[in-house]
Amino acid sequence: MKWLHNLLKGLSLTAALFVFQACYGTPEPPFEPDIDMGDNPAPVEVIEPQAEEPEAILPEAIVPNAEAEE
Amino acid sequence: MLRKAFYRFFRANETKVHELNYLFWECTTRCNLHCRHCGSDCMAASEDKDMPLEDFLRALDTIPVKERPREFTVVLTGGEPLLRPDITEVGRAIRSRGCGWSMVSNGWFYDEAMHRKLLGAGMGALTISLDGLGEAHDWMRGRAGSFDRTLRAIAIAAKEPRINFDVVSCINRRNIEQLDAIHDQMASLGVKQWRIFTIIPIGRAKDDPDMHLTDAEFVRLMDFIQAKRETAAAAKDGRMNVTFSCEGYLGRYEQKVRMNPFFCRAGVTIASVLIDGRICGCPNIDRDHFSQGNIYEDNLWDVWQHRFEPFRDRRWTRRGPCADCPVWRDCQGNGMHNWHGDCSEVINCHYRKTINE
Repeated sequence: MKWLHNLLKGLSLTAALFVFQACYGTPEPPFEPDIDMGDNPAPVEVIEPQAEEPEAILPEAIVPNAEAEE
Repeated sequence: MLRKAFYRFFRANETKVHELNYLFWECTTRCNLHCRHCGSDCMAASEDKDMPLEDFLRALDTIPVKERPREFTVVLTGGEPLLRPDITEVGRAIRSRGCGWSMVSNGWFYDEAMHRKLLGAGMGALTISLDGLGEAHDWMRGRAGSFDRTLRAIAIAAKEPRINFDVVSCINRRNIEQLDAIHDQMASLGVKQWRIFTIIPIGRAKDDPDMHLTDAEFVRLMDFIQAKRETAAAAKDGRMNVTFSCEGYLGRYEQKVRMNPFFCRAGVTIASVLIDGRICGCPNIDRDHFSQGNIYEDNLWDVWQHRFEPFRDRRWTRRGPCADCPVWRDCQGNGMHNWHGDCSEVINCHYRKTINE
């Protein structure tokens, strides 16, 4: 019953029912209602990289594979 | 009693609706550490190549925008996701589709510069693993210096109001005596959420006796969490929220060590795209046994809508000790990750641990 699911989800009193995280995962990101769909970029400030890439501090034994580098 | 009946009804309805709102992507199985409890046996030179971003996006795009709830989240996991050189590109691509994204990391590469880059790519939530203080953490993580790196990452993330951040700890026989000390260290860094879990006997943790708590120690852990939660609730001063993960049904500790009653949502609201393209519930579930398709052969959305039957009808778990268990209606065979191999019986019963002591 999708309508019941939507109703419960919409009720603030039962919101805790929908707060969850997988035991293996992360908390839910805060919902931002102003996210643009489609081709628009993320609505957060984009800060260009300023420091070394993670490869720079990798131990020698770990070399990112070719596909990932491409 | 009424509450219990309502929750059973709620859970049944959620299962019937099965709204996908949490999608793991095992974006790499390479890892810079060698954790004793790793369920996936990750290693530095993994045999699996990182999945190309475009392959994952092709799968993600099969999910119609109108079918994605507002809280829909892609969770990057591994391996260590920060080993991907294109991690910010990954984040931006997911975010530009209107989805939230988050990441589980060991914290080794998480410095101020990385933090800014990930925020810039729209990261909304982060989990850092901490498995003890000092040498206890390094022992668990298989690399000296891990603790210092992890602590640095936690300190950076904890003071960032734009992300939902928590620390996750695997409690074992080596660090159970440090519970209070870990708690105090987290609190001093400003951590607001601390999530605790225990080990299931799979992967390289299977034959490691130091990894597995005795029943008495498990109950001690439950008592610790319950006490911290009660203290925090009484104080009402925003102190750290300590919870037990949703890894299993806890009998008398239900709702005393976490907010909600047990509900394994794997395959109900949670799916994963694994490193080789297989589609499953959570990544720590037996992928050989329970994978439901592969993004290189199947349409992810189609698989989500029409398969996942073993996840959505758990009556098959009524076998072995679960066959005539008095709490099965609320437990339903415990978390799906507790069924491995031939699945003749559940390999880990949290409820039994609580009644044995």
